[in-house]
Amino acid sequence: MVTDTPLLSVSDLYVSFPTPRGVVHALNGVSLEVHAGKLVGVIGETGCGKSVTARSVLGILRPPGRIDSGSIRFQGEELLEMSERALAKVRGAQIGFIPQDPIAALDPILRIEDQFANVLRAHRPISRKRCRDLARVALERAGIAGPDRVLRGYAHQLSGGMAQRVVIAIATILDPTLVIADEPTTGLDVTIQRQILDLIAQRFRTEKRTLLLVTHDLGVVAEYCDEIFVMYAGKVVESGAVQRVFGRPSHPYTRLLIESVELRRFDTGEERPSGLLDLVNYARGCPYASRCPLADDRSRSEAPEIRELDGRMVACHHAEEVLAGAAPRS
Amino acid sequence: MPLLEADRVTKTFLREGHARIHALNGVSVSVEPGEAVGVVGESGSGKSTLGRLIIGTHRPDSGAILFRGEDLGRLDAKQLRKVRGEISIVFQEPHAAFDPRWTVGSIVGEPLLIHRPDMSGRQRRERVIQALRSVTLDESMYDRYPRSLSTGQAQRVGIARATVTDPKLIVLDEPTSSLDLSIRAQILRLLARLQKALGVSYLLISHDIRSVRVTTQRTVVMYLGQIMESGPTDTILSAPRHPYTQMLLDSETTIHPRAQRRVPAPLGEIPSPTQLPTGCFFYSRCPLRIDACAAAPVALRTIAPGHEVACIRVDATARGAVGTPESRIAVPADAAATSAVS
Repeated sequence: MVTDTPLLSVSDLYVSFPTPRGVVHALNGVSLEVHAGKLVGVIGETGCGKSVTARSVLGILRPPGRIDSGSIRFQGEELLEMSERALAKVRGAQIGFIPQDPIAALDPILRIEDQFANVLRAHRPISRKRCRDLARVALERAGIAGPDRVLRGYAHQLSGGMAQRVVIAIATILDPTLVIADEPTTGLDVTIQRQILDLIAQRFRTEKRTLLLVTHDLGVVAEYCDEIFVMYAGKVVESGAVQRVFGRPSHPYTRLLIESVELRRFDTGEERPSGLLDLVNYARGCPYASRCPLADDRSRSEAPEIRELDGRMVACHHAEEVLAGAAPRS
Repeated sequence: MPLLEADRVTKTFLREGHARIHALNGVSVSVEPGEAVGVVGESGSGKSTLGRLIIGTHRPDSGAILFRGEDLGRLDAKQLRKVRGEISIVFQEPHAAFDPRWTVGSIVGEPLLIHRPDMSGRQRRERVIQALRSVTLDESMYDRYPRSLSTGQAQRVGIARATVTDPKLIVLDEPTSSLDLSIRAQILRLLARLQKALGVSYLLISHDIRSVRVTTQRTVVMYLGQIMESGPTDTILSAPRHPYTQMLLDSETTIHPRAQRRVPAPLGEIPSPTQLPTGCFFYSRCPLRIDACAAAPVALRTIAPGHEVACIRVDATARGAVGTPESRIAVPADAAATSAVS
């Protein structure tokens, strides 16, 4: 077990979205730790809360989302208690963000070089010329040949892959310690996805940057990450080293995801009804019980605590059974 | 006789009065009765345009779409309507494809109103319920509205609608792209099961080369409006011979990663469809390219029964089946790009 202080530590985070139809409890006690220099994946299906977790850390929850309780510590400092001004310094400068849709993330009416300048000059008193020089280098390091043409152009002139390279260059230009990427290659073709992820992983490894990668794609986590957090219904249900968790899952939901991606199993149970989770009922049992083939009375009445088992963390009363049933893979 | 045949079809679009986009550049595909054919490729490959030509929302500039040997372009309105009842489509975004004010029953039953006007209301209802059951939705769905359905349920409604008239061919346009992982697996299995049960033919259009594995018998790989490779799905997935197919497969991530990727990371991006290359369309991104590749167009050649490849370097791509260590492809030094992170 790692004993040093985590770079990022989210604990017992509750986030809800009050809507006219009721309160959507998006996060129901999420805890995760990210250690410096690691590439960490957060995985789960639509509505599991993986993006909400990322956005909470970045302080960019979409309205009407609100953090009800919990703690988000970055480099030992509590972000939820920081002043707006102090937070603004942390975000951007120390925590970079790579969003899903790069073309939408870029400003459509600003030249790319001005978007670099805006980010740089918000944090450093430097000249426009110096901005351009830094931007040029950043684009080259993001694999863009001929950066000057890109700098003079606009977002809509870029392909999806090129736009994501630009976004990566902007997200890292202030040399952040931590970068949060929310589905950075969703919507890109697989050959472009590979280029982008190779770029991120190689650069982050050499620059000793830390990555929190939110994705629905297990393969992406397996190929590029060291550690994984599997989320379901606003909770972390399993976490640990990627090879350990994917090699031998101990939560039935992790197992389901693996079997689905390999198209080995198809009777995957009904989807969780979208939208409203009743917090009262929710608190009583395991959130996965309604889909789980192993669920019993205990699962339906008592929410499993996250616990250590076989060198990873898991929240399931039946984790031993799942682990025993999973043939270890070499 | 093939059920469906696209014969050397070309299709161009004019982009806002600017350049002409060459979406399809002489594509021939056939689908036999009861056969499921996958069409895979990335954005700009022309696969969706091909689907639109087949369901008749676009017409080819040249070449022909033949259904049971009859050129769809030469049929009169009445004949065309009859054919339309035999070709149906499942869309990528089920919710977007439905009118939110219609019930599930009327969504699924609508094709019957058009193509089976002889049916009574009761017969229609029975047929709709039967179609819903075949996609494992029960009768209670009949009066529900699309908004109350999960994405997986909505896609099953879309499939029920596509099967309700007993079509001979179903065009599936990215049917699982908007679905979560576990639901994707369900839908793919449902499609495979329905195909066997109904004896219907599929043309499955997908950017996800893995999704053709469980649902199709034959796979066509497209790039820039041309076919790069076609053959039995097993062969395409386990022993592809076109460098593009190999690159596509190698770029797919897996949860049990290989220590090293077999082919180097892909070069660049797909060229603009407004200015087609003169030689091999894949030249600009190919790790195996030689000067001769750029010199003249490359035609599909049969390298084994039912297996066609458009590549003059096909000898260099045969290094045993992909997945075995000897399958690593020799790469010219200038093309050696980034390798994967271990």
